[in-house]
Amino acid sequence: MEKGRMTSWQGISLIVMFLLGSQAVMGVSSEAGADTFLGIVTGLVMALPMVLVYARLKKLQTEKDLFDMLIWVFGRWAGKICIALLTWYALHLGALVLRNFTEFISAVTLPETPQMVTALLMGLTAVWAAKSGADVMGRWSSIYFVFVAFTLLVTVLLAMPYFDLQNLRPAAYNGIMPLINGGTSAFAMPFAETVVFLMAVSAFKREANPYRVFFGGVTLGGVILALLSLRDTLVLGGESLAKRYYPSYTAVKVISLGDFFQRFEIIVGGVFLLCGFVKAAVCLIAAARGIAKLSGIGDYRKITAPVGLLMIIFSVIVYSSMMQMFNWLPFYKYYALPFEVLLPLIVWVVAEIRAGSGKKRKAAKGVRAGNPVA
Amino acid sequence: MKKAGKILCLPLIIAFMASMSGCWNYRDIEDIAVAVGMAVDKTDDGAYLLTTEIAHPSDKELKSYRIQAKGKTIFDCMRNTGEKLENKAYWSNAQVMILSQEVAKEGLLPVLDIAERNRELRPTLQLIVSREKTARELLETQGIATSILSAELASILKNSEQNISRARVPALYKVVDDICSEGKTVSLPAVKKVQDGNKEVNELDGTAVFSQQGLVGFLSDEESKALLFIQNEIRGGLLTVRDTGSAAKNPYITLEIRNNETIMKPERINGSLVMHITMKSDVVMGENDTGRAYDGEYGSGYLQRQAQAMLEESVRSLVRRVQQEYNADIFGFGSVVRSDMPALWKEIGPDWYNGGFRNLTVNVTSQIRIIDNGLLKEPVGDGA
Repeated sequence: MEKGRMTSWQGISLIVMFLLGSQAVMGVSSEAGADTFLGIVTGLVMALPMVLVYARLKKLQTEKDLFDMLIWVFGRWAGKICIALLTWYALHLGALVLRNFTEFISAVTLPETPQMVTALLMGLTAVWAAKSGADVMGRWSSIYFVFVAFTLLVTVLLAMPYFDLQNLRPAAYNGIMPLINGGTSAFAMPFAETVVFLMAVSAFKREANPYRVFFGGVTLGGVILALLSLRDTLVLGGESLAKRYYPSYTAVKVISLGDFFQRFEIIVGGVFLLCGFVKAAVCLIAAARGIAKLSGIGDYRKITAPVGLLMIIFSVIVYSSMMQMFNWLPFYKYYALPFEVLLPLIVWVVAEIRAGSGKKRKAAKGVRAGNPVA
Repeated sequence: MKKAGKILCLPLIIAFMASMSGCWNYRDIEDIAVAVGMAVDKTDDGAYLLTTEIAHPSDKELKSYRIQAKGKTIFDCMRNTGEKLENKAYWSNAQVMILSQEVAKEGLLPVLDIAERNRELRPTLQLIVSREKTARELLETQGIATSILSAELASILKNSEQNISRARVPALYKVVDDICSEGKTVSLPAVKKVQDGNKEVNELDGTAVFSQQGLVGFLSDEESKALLFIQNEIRGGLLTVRDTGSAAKNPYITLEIRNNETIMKPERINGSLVMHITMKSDVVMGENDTGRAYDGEYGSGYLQRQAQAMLEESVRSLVRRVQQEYNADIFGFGSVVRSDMPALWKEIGPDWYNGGFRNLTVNVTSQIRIIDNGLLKEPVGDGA
């Protein structure tokens, strides 16, 4: 179906940029205050087994994508319902990401520009990217990721003079519950959101190992997110962090190198925008593929533009205010549970059983035919 | 056909380019009034009075003018400023915000809220408390070198922070952190105006002490230095020591601080909490008026002990005064207890200002090392 395929590194950089997407501006579970950073690490540890399941699915499905597997597992009708649910999830997630960014832009730089305009700019670019295909996105992000990583690293280094190690202590002052709470939040958003990749990316290059891509991508992304939240906490302090909407942006605002180099936040804002664009585009590909599968349209590229417009409009109406956007975050993890955990787990278990029995059947056939079992 | 379509797209693309490179609320540099500093006062009827200094680049020199506006909140004042301005005020370059004592006594909440919520004001804005009757007086003095007073005030504070250690100069985000954290309260630099020759100029004058409710008092320059020692924020400055054993006309030695590291460690001794403050400082001899050579009989150990005793005493008396008079934990003792002994803090934290802080025993130790004598091997005279 698609000509180009992704190498491991392209897959990894795509996943890392996807993970940095909205969390880098919104802050991951920053209500945990000084323990935000520990919450992210907890979330990463929780997410790794789930990510292994995703990688295993990718390994099992080889040429098929998650949608094909759903039909294979649940049969035609139930499978289609599951596809519709996952498509909804991808579409909704893409709209949320777009909204996060238009909200961010209007909050910090362009308060008088209607959000529809920024959503259109970002959304149409995502449509273009989605039309080019996931493999082009992979190549694109493998180049931009270097820039993104470099910029973020520079902000961490430049923020070092402003660090106050006291801000991290005492660890887990309010007990273990905030950690688990923050961990599950970070698990649901952004780590387990990588499930979208199962829908959006059909194939890696033959030599690319899905375990390496998923495991490496999520770990690297998690480490970067943890580092960024460490930076924010060390600069701003836990309590102050928890009170802010865009902690990363504020933390970087503080940095100045001499009197001359200051106001780095706009570069950082741009970097986050690149990542958000990746996330929106990947979600768009996933949603378009789902809709194409449901309606029997062969090539999803034909419908990326209408689906993209749908996503843009959805992003404008999905929340009525910035407060609503942030108040929704605590509920997201419960909402995302079926899409991120339940469905993939069921598909995985059934696929393992079938693959196992298929092997057995093959082996049995082989014995009956008198061939040696490989 | 396909080619014609492509050509038709071209005007569309150009139209897009033209409309998208612009921005919705673009403002030309000529059309903005750059606010460089603000002074917040309260009027008799309880409203805020905001005095804004606006930089005005004219043909040859940089000048500034002041505008006053009243309002129910500070943001209200900022918008009302516009009634007198032909251009819209631009706040991102505001460097200082001076608070009158009256405003400061009511607490920092309104000030911090506007400064952190507003998207134009930056977190590097410097808060200052005026020791004069009003805050706006400080924006109406004459500058020494520049006519823009806010910029001069910002440089004075910066110089103090880096070289003379005379007042704590916390950036706005630090103030927010102080006010949010348990067991810590805010301290801000204080400024007064003085007569310098025939000019009236601004001068840094110690530190303003805040309790959780608001401004409660001021520290002198010397006390501010002791405060910085406790907070481990000494980056320079002088220690002037009296040699108690010297009979010279001017028995003082001035040491220049090169390096200082302060460690606070809480400890429970027999059930009561003791805060150990250990200050390790490297100093160099800056001026010696006693005529003694401080090696041999009066070795550098002798001078170090004199300096240590003096520093310890000044820190001790500061802590005692703040505990007794202000009951405001500007040192952050509480937050150190919280991070080192979280279990204990859960017990005593709620009562920190009901006697916990006031009755805290503080154990001060100073270790001073003279690492350099300057360019003189021994004094040129005997000082008597």
